[in-house]
Amino acid sequence: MAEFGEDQRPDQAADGAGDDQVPADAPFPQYESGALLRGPEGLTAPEASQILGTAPGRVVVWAGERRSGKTTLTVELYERHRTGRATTTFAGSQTLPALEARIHPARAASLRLQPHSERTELDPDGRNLLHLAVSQEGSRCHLLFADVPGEVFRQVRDSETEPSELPLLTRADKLAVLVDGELLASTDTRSAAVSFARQLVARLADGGVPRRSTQTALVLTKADKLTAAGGEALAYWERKEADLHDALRAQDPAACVFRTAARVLAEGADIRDDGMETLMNWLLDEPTVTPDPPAPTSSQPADRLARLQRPKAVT
Amino acid sequence: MSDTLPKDLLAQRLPDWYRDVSVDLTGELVAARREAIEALTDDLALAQAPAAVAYAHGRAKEGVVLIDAIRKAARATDPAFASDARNREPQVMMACVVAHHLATHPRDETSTALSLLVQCAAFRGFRSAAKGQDLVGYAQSQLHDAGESVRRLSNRGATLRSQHNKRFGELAEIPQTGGSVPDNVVQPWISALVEGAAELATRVDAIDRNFRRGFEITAEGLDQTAWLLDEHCEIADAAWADLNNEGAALYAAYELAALTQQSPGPAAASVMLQSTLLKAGRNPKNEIDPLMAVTKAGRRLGRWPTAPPATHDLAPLSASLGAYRQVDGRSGWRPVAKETLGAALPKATEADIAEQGYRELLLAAQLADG
Repeated sequence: MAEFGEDQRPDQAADGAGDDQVPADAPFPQYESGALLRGPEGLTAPEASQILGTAPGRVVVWAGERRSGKTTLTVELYERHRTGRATTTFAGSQTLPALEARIHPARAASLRLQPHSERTELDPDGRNLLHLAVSQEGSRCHLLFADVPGEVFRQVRDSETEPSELPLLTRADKLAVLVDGELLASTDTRSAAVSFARQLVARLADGGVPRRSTQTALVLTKADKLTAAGGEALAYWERKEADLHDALRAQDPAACVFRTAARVLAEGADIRDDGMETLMNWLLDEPTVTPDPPAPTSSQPADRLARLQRPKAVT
Repeated sequence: MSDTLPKDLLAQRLPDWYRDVSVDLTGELVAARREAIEALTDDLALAQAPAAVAYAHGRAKEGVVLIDAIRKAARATDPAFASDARNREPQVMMACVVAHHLATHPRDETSTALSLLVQCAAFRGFRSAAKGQDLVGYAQSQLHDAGESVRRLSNRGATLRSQHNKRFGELAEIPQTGGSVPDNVVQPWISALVEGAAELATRVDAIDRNFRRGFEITAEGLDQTAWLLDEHCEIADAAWADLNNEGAALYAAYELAALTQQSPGPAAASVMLQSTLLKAGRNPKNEIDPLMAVTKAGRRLGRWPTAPPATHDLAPLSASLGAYRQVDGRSGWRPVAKETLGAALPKATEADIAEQGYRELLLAAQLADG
């Protein structure tokens, strides 16, 4: 089964419905492989709901323009767990083929000269969620990454699409606005990269995003490329990062900032410096809860007895 | 008398309560679950209240007796519903059922039991499975409404005189001819007299009921006031001032519960319990181990009910007394109590222990009657 530690087959209701299809004398549990391992597709919202119904989880949306590193962040978080480099433990995935299909072009086994992520397309059947379950100190958490193409966020930025037309944005527990460090490294492209992020944040805010229950972050991707560009590029980003952070904090006072380098290519680079562990910790932080308003109270006649501290003895 | 909780509480809050256990991008899932929750609310019986509240607070083992009903209700609108008792979603559903019941049946005895049980869960440090849900607040509102309702006499309707005038005022007068009177003139008068007599009888019955109820309410109030003024503790057969130990909380709870005729108790119950603790020289805000209260008072509380459902997770004091009684108070009863409860009880103020004991006794009486 693609999710470790569960007794329940995904195709079988918890009350045992479907058991009559398994021969009583079968030596091993019989599983329908097609139900266990999906094709290279994500989950639909109802399928994701079934997962959240079992254990805590987070819906994560990376928001950024094309090639800003949205898919790379997701698959690299998966890869770190697959190879045991993460401090949390891999606890399964119901979209393993989808994750593998997306990470494979980046691996050496793909025989590419440079790591590569395929361009994301919006799934017509709404299978937009990639699943990664992780375990930390005995507790399991299901991360559901929205696999949304950058083109969609360009349309939001250009007001061609309203944020309200993307319900994943309002459902997100974690919403991260990405800025491409590789674009920041060049004087030709840095201004446009910052401008895209600023306009996207503004358009999202106009559309009521983020909601109170969404935690936000500004994430710099490909930080190694920016670092390699030198001090002037870094200083430019530091100024712009502060402005963008302020813009996010206008909607979410607790908005965070991260710098990541999901695929550090420089030899000898300390993997702990790539910001991915810090990002993962933010993802695993408890989501924001919208508490009930205080329950209405009626006047308490008992208040009138508050002065009754020591009753008189009956004589 | 208006209800404190809004009837549309479920409609207002369900999207937030359900957010943590779903990815509902269209609103359809929440709408389907709402129907299931409403169906479960209508079918919730008093006897299920302890399991329902415990399950709503994440006590998965209680879900075993409820999960079939939850599945049936959910599958009426979503045949793919496949949760089992260990999962979070049915626990959240049950938390929503409890809240919805309190809001839509504010004066129902099942709601009163649910509210008392919610307060018991809070005493144990349990939290609602639906994140952000203020079940304790809703329970307090319901108990206040129900407590006022059971102690309020019904309003007098239109007076008999006014109804008499209305009924007979429209009838034609019987002619004073001395001869026979036509049937069509007499019959309406006869009918009116019959209706009037029936109404009079109904009104007399209502007066009788109101009188008895008023008497009970007044008697309860007088008894509780006298108890409040009394320096003597009946159960311990000693002056309260001589009971300056941790057991005073349970003595106070037991005696006040014995004087409470209607559930929920009066709104002033917590103040009365605190006042009695002061009589015993105790500080109501002093935090103690609840098992110490059991140790000090256990021997004198032989009539405190300890049979199921008093042994339930949400009746920790009764369950502890049961463990105490099981080994006749000898050393070694504490591990038995801890095993029954599944965990050690946190420290609590003496006032809170007294209130919890009072709640458990009211619940035991209510569930025994139900």
